[in-house]
Amino acid sequence: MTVSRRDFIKHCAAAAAVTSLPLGLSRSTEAANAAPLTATALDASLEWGKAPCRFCGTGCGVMVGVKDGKVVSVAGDELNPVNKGLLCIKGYSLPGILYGEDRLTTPQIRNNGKLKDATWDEALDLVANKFKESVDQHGPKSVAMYGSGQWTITDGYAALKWFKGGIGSNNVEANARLCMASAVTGFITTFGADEPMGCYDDFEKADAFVLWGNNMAEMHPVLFSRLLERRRKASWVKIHDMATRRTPTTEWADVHYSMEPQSDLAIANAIARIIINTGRYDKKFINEHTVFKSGKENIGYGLEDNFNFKDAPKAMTFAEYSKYVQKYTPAHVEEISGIPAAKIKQLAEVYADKFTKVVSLWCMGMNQHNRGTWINNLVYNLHLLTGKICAPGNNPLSLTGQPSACGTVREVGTLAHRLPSDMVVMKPRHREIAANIWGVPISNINPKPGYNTVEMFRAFDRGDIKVMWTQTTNPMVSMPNLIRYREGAQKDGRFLVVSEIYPTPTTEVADVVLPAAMWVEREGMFGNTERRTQQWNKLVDPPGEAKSDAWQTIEVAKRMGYADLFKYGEQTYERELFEEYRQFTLGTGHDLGTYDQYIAARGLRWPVVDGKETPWRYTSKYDPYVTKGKKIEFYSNKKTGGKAVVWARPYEPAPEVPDNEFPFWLCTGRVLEHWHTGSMTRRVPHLHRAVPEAYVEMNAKDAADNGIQDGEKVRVKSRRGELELKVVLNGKGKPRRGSVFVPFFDEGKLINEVTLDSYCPISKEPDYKKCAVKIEKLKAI
Amino acid sequence: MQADPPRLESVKQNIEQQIGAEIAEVVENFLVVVLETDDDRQMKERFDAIVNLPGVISANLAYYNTEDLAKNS
Ligand code: SF4
Repeated sequence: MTVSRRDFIKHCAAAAAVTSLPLGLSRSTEAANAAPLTATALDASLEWGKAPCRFCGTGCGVMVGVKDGKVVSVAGDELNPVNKGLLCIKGYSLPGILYGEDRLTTPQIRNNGKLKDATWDEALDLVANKFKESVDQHGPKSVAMYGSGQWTITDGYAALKWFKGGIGSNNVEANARLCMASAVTGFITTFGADEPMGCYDDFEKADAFVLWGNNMAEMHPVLFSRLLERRRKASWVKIHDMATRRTPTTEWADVHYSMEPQSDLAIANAIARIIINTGRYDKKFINEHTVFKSGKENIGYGLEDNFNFKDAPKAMTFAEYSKYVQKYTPAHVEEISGIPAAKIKQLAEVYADKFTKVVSLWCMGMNQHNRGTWINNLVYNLHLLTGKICAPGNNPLSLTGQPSACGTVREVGTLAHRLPSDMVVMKPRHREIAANIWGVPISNINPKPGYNTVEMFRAFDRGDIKVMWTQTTNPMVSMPNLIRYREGAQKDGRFLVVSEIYPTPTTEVADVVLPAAMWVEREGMFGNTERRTQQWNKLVDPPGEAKSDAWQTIEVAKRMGYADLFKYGEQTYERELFEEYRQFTLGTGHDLGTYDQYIAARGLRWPVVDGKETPWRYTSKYDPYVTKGKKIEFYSNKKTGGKAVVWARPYEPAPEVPDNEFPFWLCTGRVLEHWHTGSMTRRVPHLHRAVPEAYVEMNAKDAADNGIQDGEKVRVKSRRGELELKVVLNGKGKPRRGSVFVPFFDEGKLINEVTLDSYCPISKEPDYKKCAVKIEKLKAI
Repeated sequence: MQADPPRLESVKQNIEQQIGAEIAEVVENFLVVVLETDDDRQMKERFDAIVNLPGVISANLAYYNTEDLAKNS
């Protein structure tokens, strides 16, 4: 029995792998012939269901195998066009993250400094009372909800509706503010609407890929294999890797550009200058589809409390814009960036050459940037000047880190100024639409935006916010300048509610902890990078008394007297919430399909019109929203008559740059093995063992100059905090001289006590990639 | 997984001899490798060993199963 079962499983595994080989390759073996096209039939003794992966924004399709009420198997879903049957190494941790030994299973209330088990009724009543008391005594601005790009679509929608339609507070934010806000403001200022025009299908059509500070091989491995596969089939295809350190991506790139932090602003302008000065801009496209604008400059860094900024766009002509970029000569930009002028010209060719189809890709390198909105604008400029946009294989594509940063935070609009479907609280018409769908008076919706994330935690520290609820996120690891915010959360008169699946540094400072059901323990939906919305069904029971975030929010809202807003069935609330939310999207260009359509499909890319998805937007060939007779139209940009904006944005230095006292740049980021703050992946023993703790990557020459050896412990110190870490000189990443890299997943070594809480004044997204530190050798004991 | 075509033969040899894994299929420069281990720790170690072999471009996962076979027998 054992032997045959073992062989059978091996056969299934091999067959699944063979069916996931790139299409077009011959599948010769018996295994392949015997393999059915759906993984569901691979092992009939298990029950199978489809779901998007719980981890990153790629949105790979997973077939989940259940035995005796437990998830025991995962297979890449070959019917899902995102990953065509493949998963990355994180994918195989999916069963593991559900079954960590210390899963939270009961509500807990802090009593005399200790968290003690409580019933759901006790916990929910307490939370509802605290919210009510605070709103009654200090007004709606004194409460806040801080959610996540890992929230399902309905989790986010329930929270938004309760806060904005019920309480009348706009203090709803999500951790996507820390990763995607600059992408959003970049899209909105350039195109008038959020999210990309292109999709992953661009990868199989492009001639060149330019990675702007993006370690795709580790952070988006499944997509990176699609790039490599494209290059294998088309030998002329080149991958350009621009970054502040060498990474596994560099190993497989054709050209590496080692750049100084912050210099991407200058590099993009230099490329624009070359395109213009060599006459290789697309005059017709520019005339028909673009306008030129400039905005305020020297805009600050958001370092002071209650920082405020409003841009003042001014129209400019193409001639004025051309003049504006003239100062970015390759020689001048070589000085700023450290990239030789000849190489800058080489990179410019990729964009300037009429026959090269180019896809630009980026993620946190450009978004977690004190000028995040600007650098997004500047990369769009390159595609707009050359007309290389809205065509298969020719597009900018902003990648996302979290599984539903797009679907939940950006589309539902769980941000301080937003309403669903790209609407904002500031506009009376938008408030009216929302109020009608919610059946509440328009006066319920506050026209003034709430606090953005950093300001929200500052307000919690000051006491302007008194009660805060966090769901599916771990701010006491992920906030920059962390010491201030952790101390703030523990001050007298603050009340923190945390919905979580495992104990974290955030639950440690919580007054109430609510156990959450996750991923296939409940029904849900995520929306990925390429506008693809995916649905899954509940496949196993959650442990103990854990419940979904949406359920928890609705129960508290009801106890506060907002039952009318949530008249849904106990079994059907997921579907009902979604169908209601969908009303916001119809006729807007963000149209979503029906719940049943998502049950049937392996995801659909919006706008979904008449049941049909839209792979490429703004082009008449694919997008039904383009006005008849037009080929391309940026129809969401009403202000400009359907045109995109080419922005004149300068290079400005970072707020804190290395000096004699703090001579190194510090950049933070993720590692392949861990998901974000590690609260899930550190519970998976093999992942924890593989990368048990944070470390600091240094350039070998810098280490030698400072007499530092590989493996030695050093102190990484900034003006705000310090941390002892082991030095890694020959790891996967090798920073350029003058900079160091530290991953942020380790709650035992909190690098965010060292980072700076500066942010992009337009997007309010913090810059986790740049501050100044010194590296001190520890004295031998 | 995907191997650098000129180094395919050495990748195959290394996988079988050094890592002791079973190659179920080779199509062009793509290999289907089956790993069976007693626990996840070994799985991760062997997966990493494959990723780190010279000439390996990428390794992805297509199917993962965890079962206590002794219990089932
Ligand atoms: S690439 Fe992202 S979505 Fe795909 S399996 Fe890996 S973590 Fe999951």
